[in-house]
Parts: sequence; structure tokens; C-alpha cells
Amino acid sequence: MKILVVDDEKDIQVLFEQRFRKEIKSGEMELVFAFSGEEALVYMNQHEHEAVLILSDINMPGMSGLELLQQIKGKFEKPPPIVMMITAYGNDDNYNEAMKCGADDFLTKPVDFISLKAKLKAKIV
Amino acid sequence: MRVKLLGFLFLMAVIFYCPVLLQAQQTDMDSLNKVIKKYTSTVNFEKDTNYINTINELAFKFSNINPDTTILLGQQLTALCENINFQKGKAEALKNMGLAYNVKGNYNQALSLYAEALALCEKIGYLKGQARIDHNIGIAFSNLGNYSQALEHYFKALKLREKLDDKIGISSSVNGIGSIYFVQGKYEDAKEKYLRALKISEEINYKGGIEAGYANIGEVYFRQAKYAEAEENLLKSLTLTKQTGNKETMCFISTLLASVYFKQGKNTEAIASYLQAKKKAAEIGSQEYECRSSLGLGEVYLQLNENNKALLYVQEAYKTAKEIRYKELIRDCNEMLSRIYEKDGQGLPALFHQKQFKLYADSINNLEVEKKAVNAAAEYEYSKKEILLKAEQVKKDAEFQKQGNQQRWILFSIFAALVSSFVVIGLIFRSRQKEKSANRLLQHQNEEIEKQKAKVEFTLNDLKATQTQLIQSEKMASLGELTAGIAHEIQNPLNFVNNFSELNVELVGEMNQELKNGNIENALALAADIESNEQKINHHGKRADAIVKGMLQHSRSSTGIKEPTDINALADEYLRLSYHGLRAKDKTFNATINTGFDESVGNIKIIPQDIGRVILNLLTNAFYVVDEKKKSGIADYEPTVSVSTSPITFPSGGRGVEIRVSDNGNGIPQKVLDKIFQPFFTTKPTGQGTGLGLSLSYDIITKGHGGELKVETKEGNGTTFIIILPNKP
Repeated sequence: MKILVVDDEKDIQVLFEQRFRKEIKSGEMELVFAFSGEEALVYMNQHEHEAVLILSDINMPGMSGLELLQQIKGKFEKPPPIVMMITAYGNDDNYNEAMKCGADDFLTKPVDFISLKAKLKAKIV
Repeated sequence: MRVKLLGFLFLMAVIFYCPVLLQAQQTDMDSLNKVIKKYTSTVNFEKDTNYINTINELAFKFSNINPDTTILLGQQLTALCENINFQKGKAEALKNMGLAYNVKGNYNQALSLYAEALALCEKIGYLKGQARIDHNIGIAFSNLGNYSQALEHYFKALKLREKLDDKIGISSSVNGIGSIYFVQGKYEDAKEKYLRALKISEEINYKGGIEAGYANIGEVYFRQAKYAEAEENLLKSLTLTKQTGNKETMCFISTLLASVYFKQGKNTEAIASYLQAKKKAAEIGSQEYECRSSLGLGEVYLQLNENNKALLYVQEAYKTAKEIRYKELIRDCNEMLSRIYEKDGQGLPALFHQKQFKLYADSINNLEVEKKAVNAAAEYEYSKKEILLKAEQVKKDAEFQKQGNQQRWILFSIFAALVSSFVVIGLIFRSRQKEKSANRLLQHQNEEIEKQKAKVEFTLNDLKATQTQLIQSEKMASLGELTAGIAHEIQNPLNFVNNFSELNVELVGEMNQELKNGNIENALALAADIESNEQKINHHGKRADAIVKGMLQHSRSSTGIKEPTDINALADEYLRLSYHGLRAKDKTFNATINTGFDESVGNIKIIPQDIGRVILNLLTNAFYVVDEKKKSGIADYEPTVSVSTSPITFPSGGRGVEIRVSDNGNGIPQKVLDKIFQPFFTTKPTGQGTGLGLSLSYDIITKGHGGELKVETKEGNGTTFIIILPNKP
């Protein structure tokens, strides 16, 4: 399972790689990273349908996570990748907006990786 | 001399060829032209007293309709008169300049010129000039509110004019005396004097006097709330001003007539009349009447519920009143602004202007009480002088009779002496009574002054408390702007702190297991990861700490202590906070951010929380305007906000820093540009801005740091705010 993680915080890569080190080692999971919405779109265009799951931050300079979500859901229809939004500002407005744009799930920072792992399994299985 | 002459001829040329003046004062200009043509063709014309007299007469005519021309002519004529020692000409020139300054509202300058002119007239025994100047001094003192001095000079002028049998002068001085009674509230006495002056003017068909007479009588009726009579007299006067071309009177009458119309509920006529007065005031450069007419327009529009128009006019009037430091007008503008804001439902600015109004009203009351006390004392002195003058007159009359008939003289002189003795005794008795009553009045007024002082002190404290409250509200409002940004900036580092620490617990467990199994190499690799993660925990922990500290600094009162601060880091921190704050609140918001931080700026000694507040204000405004422009739907528009720093060296050699905050919004319209630093001025919709951000920022930079806050803007293209801060050791 290839997961595209999108966040403007560079340390997110080390964190995800270490948190999912066992899954990566066993080949159960493959992680790729993009540090802006624009970078994520470029990746998706070049590697269509490779990533089945996208974990995206909402608040990023330039293209926001919600804009990215709308573009991905509109462009890659068959089948659309699963998109889970992660934000540091998890109020009701953000949640409703994300759901309206077609998000499959909504997580807030600090990320609870135990719950995230459970959600990933549930989404994929 | 040659240079002076050339300058003079240049001035003549400017006046002559100025198209506006040519249209407005064609007759006077033609006269001036004729004078120049006639005299400049002769040798040594600048030494010809006829030439100087003629130009002086024209300068006098210009004093009302174009005072600046009179001042320029006067300066040139004074120099010419000094060259040929022509003192009468110089006195006339000085007097005309005084008149011009009086029209412009610079009464002290006018009095100083009159004093110089009067001394010259007395020296050469030029009585007609002396009378005119005494009369003009009366006007200037009246304008300054010194009524006893004004009356003294009007009476001096009247006496001289009666001696010279100068009817126009007599009419004018009687009018002047009437005007003093008028300001003292003795309306019937004033009307009597005005009617007397009008009668004299009509007898000799003196248009200026008739014009002034009707205007003055109209004003008395206005004060007595007899509006129909007031309108009738003012209209008569206005018709005459069209013949005389006296713009100052036209201005005064139009303003008064507008007030009469307003009182009668004729709002359309009131607006037209105020607009006419405003136009004339601008033509003669009378800021006072520009202010009065704008204020009047504001009042009419407020009555018509057109609050926006009312606000524009009153703000314009307020600015002018402050420029000319006219306390009564500042007071009235504040009262009107308070009423407008109150009607508009804007509580804070209404309260602010109400307090300002109260402050000015109290200050004016205090001045008036003091003025009354001084005037009461002066009036007492004046009445003593009057008694002596009358006694002297009685004596002179008696001497005159003596020459006519010796016998009758004996009888009459006994009788006159008796009468005069009774008169003197009576007057002395009256003066003593007056003295007692003046003393009682003084005592009462002293008590009143004390009361007013206590009241003003109380108001001042009240105002200070309100000001503190307002500043705190603004701080809290800007803290609200930051909340979303702060949440974002704290949750992100917290995500790393929590997860890396949990991860390290897992990794330590795995490392122990590897050690137990004797896999030293794997254990070492895990130890390296743990160490790296620890560093990340530390880094993100400090990041969260800095955000919290910054937030606390922003909300608490300024320490007032300047400390060396990394300006680039401060600007970057607030840039991130405001940007993320807006993004979190409004999902549709987006903007390109450009930074240009010059590393050589280094540390600058500033009060960091204050400068942070200024940068935040400027950034919040910048983001707001680019977002507004984007929402207006301009194609291919890229909202962009830039922040940059650069070191600067002042001409004095001192060093400092320049911080520029730019946006590519719609720019600031020229008409509001000079208002943006005023408290409560905002272009944002009601409830979205306190209108204090830029005003407080301006104070922080200029008063708090001795720096400058400048703005460069181009309508349609954007705005740059430039902060200049000196780096004082």
C-alpha cells in the first residue's frame, strides 16, 4: 500500500518513517512525501493511481490541503484515492468543510498513531 | 534695489496676468494695469509718492478680496517708502498688510503691524491714518475677544473721525461699537448702534456701510430668533455684496443665511447657501469660514439622515479647525462627530468625541471665566477714564461760553461747575459702586475657576482611563486575530514532541532487547535514532515555548524597556502567526508571501512587544486588502504580501533599520490618505476593525521609538508601509 503524506513540516517524514518502521520493513506499507499541495499534485500526475491513500495537512502555504483534496477527488476518479485530512486547527468548521470537499476522514494534530494505524487498516481492508 | 524693483515688476506681472483674478476683479486689475503703464514709463517712478499712494489704495482694495496680494504689495511698498523716507506711505502700507492678516485670521501679526503704523502716524500727525488704524485695532482686539480694548480703540477712532467730519469713518466706528455690544449679548444696544451707522451710510450712499449695516442687523435678529427679519436683512446685504465684490462679507452672510434657513427648516436653501460660503471662503483663503460652512453642511445632512455625507463634511471641518487651532470650532466639530457616530450606532468613536467635546467645552469655559474677570477689571478702569473725559468736556464747554458772554459766563460757569460737581460726585459714587460689584464678581469668578479646574481634572482622569481601556480593547482584538495562528503554531510542534517522545519509549525498549540479544550494532543504530529524536523534541518544544511567550508579551502591557532584538526573527514570527491565523479562519484565503530579510540588520534596541504589534497590524491590514481585491474577481490577480528589512544610515551618521510591509491591493485613495493614522478611522465594515490599529502603531513608532511610519501608495496598485527605527544605544 503506497501512502502519500503531504505536509509543509519537514520533520513529518522522519516521524512517519519511524512510526511505521515495522510496516515499511515488512513491505506492508510504502511512504512517499510531498511538502506542499503543488508538489503532491505533481506526484499524483506523474504516478497516477500508485498512491491509494493520501494523508494531507490542511494549513499549508500556497495550495491548501482542502484545495488539493478537491483537485484529487475531481481528477483521479477511477478509483479515487482515499484522502485523510490532518490539521493542527481541528475545529468544527474545518471538519465540515473537509467532509463537504469529499474527505474520507479527519484527524487532528498531535496525531494519535495507534488510532491512525487502526483507521488505515479499516480503510484499506 | 534693482533686485527689489525686478521682484516688484514680476509681482505686478503675476497679478496682472492671473486669469482668475482678471475675471474676479477686472475693474481693480484694470486700474492696476493703468497705474503700471502710466508710471513705469517714467524715469524714477519708484520714487514717485503719487505712484506709491495709488498702489497703496489698490492694495487696500485687495485686502478683503485677495489678502495675499495685499501682503506682497505691502512688503514691496514698505521697502520703496523706506528708500525715499516716505513715512505716510509706509504707514498706509503697514496698515493694509495688517488688514490683510486680519482677514486671514492672524490677529497678532495684524496688531503688530498696526502698532508700527500707528506710531508712524502719531509721529507725523497724520490724523486720518491714525483714526483708521485705531478702528482696525478695535477690530483685531474684538476678534481676539478683548472687548474693553476693542471699545477703547473704536471710541478713539470715532472721536478722531468726528473731529475730521469723516462720515464713512463715523459709520464704520459706530458699527464697530455695535459689534462689541452684540458679542456682549446686549442685542438692543447693538441694534441701536447698527441702525445709526446704517442711517449715516444711507445718507451718503456708502455701499460698504449699508452692506455691513444690513448684515449686522440680520445677525442681531438671528440671535433674537426672529428668522424672517433676519432673512430679509441678510438678503438685502447679500445683494449689495454682489455689487461691492466683498467676498469676506459674502462668506459671512452666506454662512449666516444658511443657518437662518436651517432654523426655518429650509434644508435645500441651507445647503446651497453653505456651499456658496464654502466656495467663497476657499477663494479668499479663510479657513475659519471653510470650517464653519463644512460644519454647517454636516449638521444639515445629519438632520436629513445622510450620515455618510455628514461625516465627510464634519471630518473635513474638524481637520481644518485643528489646523487653525480654533478651540470653539474644534469643540463644535467634536460635538457634531459624537452625534453622527451615535446616530450611526458606533459607540466607541461617539464616546471618544463626546469626551473631546467636554474637554474643549470645559477648557473654553475656563478661558471665558478668566476673560470675564479681566474684562470686568478693565471695564472698571475704562469707566474711570470715561468720567475724566466727560469732566474735561464740561470744562471745555464752560471755557467756550466764557468767550461768548462774560456775564452769562459767570452765571453759567457757576451753574456748570455745580452741575459738573454733581456729575463728578455722582459718577465717582457710581464708580465706587461698580468697584465693589467688580470685586464681588471677581471673588465669585475665582470660585467658579476653582470649580471648573476640579471638573477638568476629573474629566482628564476619566479620559485617561477610557484611553487605557481602548488600547486594551485594541490589543485584545488583535490577539483574537492571532488565536487561530497560535493554535496552528503550537499544535504542530506538539505533534512532534508527543510522537517523538512516545516513539523514543518504544525505541528504548527495542534497544534493550537488541542489547540482551547481543546485537550491539542494531542497538547503536537505535541509540542514534533516539538521540536524533531527542534533539527534535527539544527543538519543537522550544518552538512552542517561543510562541506562548510571544503571545503573552503581546497581551500584556508594554514594559517600556528597550532590549536588543532580532528584527528579522520578530518580523518572521508575526508573519507566520498572522498568515496562519487568517488561513485557519478563512479556508478560501491565500496569498503569496515574499520575504527579504537582510541579515546585516542584526539586533536593534526596541520594545519587542510594541514593534511586534505594529508589524502584526500592518500585516493584518495587508492580508485583508489583498483578499478584498481577490474577492472582487479581478482576472489573473495574485494576492502578494512582502516583508523586508534593510539597514540604513541617517544623514546625522546614526544607524537604524527600515522595515517595509507591502501589498498589491487596491491602494489607499488620496482622499482618505491623511486620515489613516487618525484614531477610529477605518475603511473596514462596522465591527471588523477598531480603527485604532494604525493610530496606535503610529504612536508606538514615533513617540515610543523616535522613528517614522510612512506610507507610499498608488491607487489600484498597492501600498507600502515603511517603518524607520533608529538604533539608539
